[in-house]
Amino acid sequence: MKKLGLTSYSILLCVLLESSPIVAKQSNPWQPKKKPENKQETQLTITPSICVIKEKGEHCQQKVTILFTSTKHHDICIYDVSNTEPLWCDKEIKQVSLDVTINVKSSLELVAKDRATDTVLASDTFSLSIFQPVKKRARRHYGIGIL
Amino acid sequence: MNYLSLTLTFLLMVSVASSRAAEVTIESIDTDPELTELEDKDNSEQRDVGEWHISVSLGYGQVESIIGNVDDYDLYLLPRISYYGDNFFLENTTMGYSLYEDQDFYIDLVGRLNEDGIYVKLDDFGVFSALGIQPPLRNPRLPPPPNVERDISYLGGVAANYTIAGYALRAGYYHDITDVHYGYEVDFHVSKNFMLTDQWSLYLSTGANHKSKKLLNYYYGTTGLESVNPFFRYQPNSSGTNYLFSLNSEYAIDNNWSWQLLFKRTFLSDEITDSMIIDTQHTDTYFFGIKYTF
Repeated sequence: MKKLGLTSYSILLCVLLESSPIVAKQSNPWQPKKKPENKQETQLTITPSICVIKEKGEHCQQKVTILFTSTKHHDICIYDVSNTEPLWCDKEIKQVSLDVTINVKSSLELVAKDRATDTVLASDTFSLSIFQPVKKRARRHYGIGIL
Repeated sequence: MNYLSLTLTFLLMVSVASSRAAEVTIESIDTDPELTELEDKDNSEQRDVGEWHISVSLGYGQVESIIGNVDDYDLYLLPRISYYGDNFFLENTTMGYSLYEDQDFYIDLVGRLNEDGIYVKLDDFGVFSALGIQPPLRNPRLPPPPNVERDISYLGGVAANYTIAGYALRAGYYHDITDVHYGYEVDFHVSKNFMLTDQWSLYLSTGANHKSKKLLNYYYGTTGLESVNPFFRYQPNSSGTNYLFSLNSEYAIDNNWSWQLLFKRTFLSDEITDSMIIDTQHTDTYFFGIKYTF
């Protein structure tokens, strides 16, 4: 076996010493984990989000607020997912609140897209629910014969 | 920059700093709306379909015996059970199937216990015994008539109910389906529930119950062998009608506990009171106690 010189030992020792904290850092289970990136940095919120109708096919006319918030500025468009034409677009938007009156016959899903990349930044749904009361029956009031 | 959609009418005023009114008309998406169940205001005169109602009342009450030699029956425990399905219902000893039902009118096929059998068999009525209620004590001063045996009967028939101005009017025809006496009953009741306060309810009912001659003869007729003196026998010569009045009042303490008062008076028909085994013109049943609903 070929003997290593003092310089070689020194270099090897330095490499080991330098790399050990990295290994320890990676394998230490007690090391505080790095916080995950906030996936909700961009949000689209429709308020209120539900409209209750009496029967299927009935229209719901409702005043709602569409709130778009982001940590960065975007050139955005808001779409109804069932339509390719945007409902609204604007540049350099970080936060916007839109008061709109909608008239729908069924649930509505809106998405906010980045105009440059055409990627969906956020979405929300305005749901229609049919009012269905709990079924009840008239109480008969039959006793046990003598009471 | 704003765009106008071809299919959407979109008129919108936007402000980054503040909200402004806007008007949007959006065509519907072709999906089915979800169903949302919402509770109506609670109504004690209605029952939720598919739910069991079980309650037990602890207190004191009596069933006044109409048979001469049988003591009144003490009640300490009063269980109640009911279930309403889509068409079927069970209410204590009565069960039925609704042929038609809307908000104000219903027609039911009904099976129910005949009360005359309960009165006659009060001294050994198995349901009460099973519930731990003490058996009645016979009056030692009045020896029982020998060999008087009557069976409990179950009646089946049809009942119709119509509700008008808060009053429930119910009429029914019920025939013996247990081959005990082959008789029948026809009844008519008027009832109304009053909510005196948010916690206090009062249910009042009055009615008439017409009993056939066969039914009366079976339960209240006596043969010479059954009489203390063989020369005295009794057979009703016609059908008869009982009249009754009842109340059921409850005062809710909370969702489970409530005070309960029950009272029922039945005026017996002449065809019943003329019988030698009957020693009263009317019979009362009452109960007062605290009720726990599960």
